Amino acid sequence: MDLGLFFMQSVVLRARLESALGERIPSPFTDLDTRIPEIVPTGIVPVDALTGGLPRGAITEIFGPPSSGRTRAMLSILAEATGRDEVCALVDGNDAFDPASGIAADLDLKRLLWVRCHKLEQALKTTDLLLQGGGFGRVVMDLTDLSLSYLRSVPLASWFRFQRAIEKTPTVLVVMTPESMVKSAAALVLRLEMRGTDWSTLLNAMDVNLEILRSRRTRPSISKFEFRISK
Amino acid sequence: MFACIHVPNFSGESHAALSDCASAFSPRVENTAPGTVVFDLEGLERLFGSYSEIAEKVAEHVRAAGIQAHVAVASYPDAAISAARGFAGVTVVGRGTEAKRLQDLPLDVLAPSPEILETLDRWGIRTMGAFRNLPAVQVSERLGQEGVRLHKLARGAGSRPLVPHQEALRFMEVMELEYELGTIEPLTFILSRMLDQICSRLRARNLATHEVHLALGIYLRVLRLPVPVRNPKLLTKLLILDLEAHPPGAPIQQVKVEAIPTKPRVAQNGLFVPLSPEPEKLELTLARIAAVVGEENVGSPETLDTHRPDAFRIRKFEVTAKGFT
Repeated sequence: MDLGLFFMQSVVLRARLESALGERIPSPFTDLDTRIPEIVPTGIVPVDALTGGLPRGAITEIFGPPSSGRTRAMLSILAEATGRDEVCALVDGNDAFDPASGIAADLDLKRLLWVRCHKLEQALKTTDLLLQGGGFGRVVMDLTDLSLSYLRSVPLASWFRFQRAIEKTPTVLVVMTPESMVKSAAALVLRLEMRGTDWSTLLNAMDVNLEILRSRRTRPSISKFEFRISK
Repeated sequence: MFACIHVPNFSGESHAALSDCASAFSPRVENTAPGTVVFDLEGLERLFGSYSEIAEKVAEHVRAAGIQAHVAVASYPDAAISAARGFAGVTVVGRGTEAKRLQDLPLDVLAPSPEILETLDRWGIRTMGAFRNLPAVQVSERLGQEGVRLHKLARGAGSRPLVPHQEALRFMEVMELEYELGTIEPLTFILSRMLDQICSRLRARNLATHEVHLALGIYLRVLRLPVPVRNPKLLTKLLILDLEAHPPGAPIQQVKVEAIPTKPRVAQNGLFVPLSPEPEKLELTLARIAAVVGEENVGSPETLDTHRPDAFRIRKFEVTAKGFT
């Protein structure tokens, strides 16, 4: 067959397919993975330097045991976003957020929608509604105070549904858990662990070990490093 | 030209009917006084014929409404009022003949204040013609501005623009149900139909609503919105969510919805404006979340200025023009 004719036929076929798929699939021949996601800073300089930041339109999972700097990381992420006049939502899995700590971390509470949940189902349903509603810069699910057995009962399909809901939106969904739950639905998975503390009479600083378990955007040169969180 | 319908010995009950009669002929109707309406006849000749024919048709229409009234047509509103007050039946006062036609009428038709009427009576001035012949400067010196105004009317020089009455717009729908409703779900269809009507009327007038009053018999709910909306689907959903959170507690026999009109929101989005939820969508999302976690568990936290540690309260999360509160 003539190469030119073949090329023309393929172009016509592609145009027909794109027309038939219409609005349902806007760019059927564009590889999703080749799109470079926009990233936003976490507000923690060493973390941003290594990971590049949090990808928009994707799930970021941050997990670790208690006293590993999870809450501080969460507050930094929210404070950074509200500092840029973005609207954030905090889905508080066990009604554990302390507004005074938020203010201490420079979080603008007027730009924060706080949803106090008391059950895992409420947190999942609320997150779903927030993601469907759209318009939030960061949606943070704090599930750190919930029982692990409950958390393990969340089907993987739920996380994939959240991923699909925000895929082409500028929202960043951050899931805070005591151990990794989101698995492959997350674009970035960070593990936090406390390495040591610096005390005078009060706690001055905390050395945190951060491990990048998954990063779809970049392959970091080092996957594990230590940084200090001070007052 | 202007027409006036005047009801002598007005009882106070038929004014709305009088206003309706005038509105049947012209959209520019002035409710001058109880029992007296004036309306503009400009452009009606093509529809109803000469001014005499128009006056006859108005009188016929008023009679058909069961009102005993006098009808007068004149070139300016106050002359029409004076003629309707002074002459029984139908009167047409030609342009430029006002002073002559009205000269024999008593001064009462000008509705002067009792003090001025008493003063003029003491002077022996009892008709408009006699009053018209008084010198204007002396009338001004002795009777003040009110006297000058009355004198102008008596001379046939008191032309003024009509002040049309605008009926207060009410966006209300009422539905009597043939059978009682015990659940909220069937109400969705009824509310949707009623709100469709209301929103299309709002849209026709380029208005929106920021407050919806729902009355289910004696049970009342008020839905306040942070931004004006005219989306019937959104309003239906918000009302249903509100009713699910606060059920009426008794079977529903009557549904009444009233939307308080306001100017619609005009927003120009900028390319570099930070990300924020659309206010209409946000309201619906908040209502849905409130249905899941409870109204008291969703909002914006606010620390309290108190010595009590960890004291805070939850405020309604809403978008305002300047920011978020």
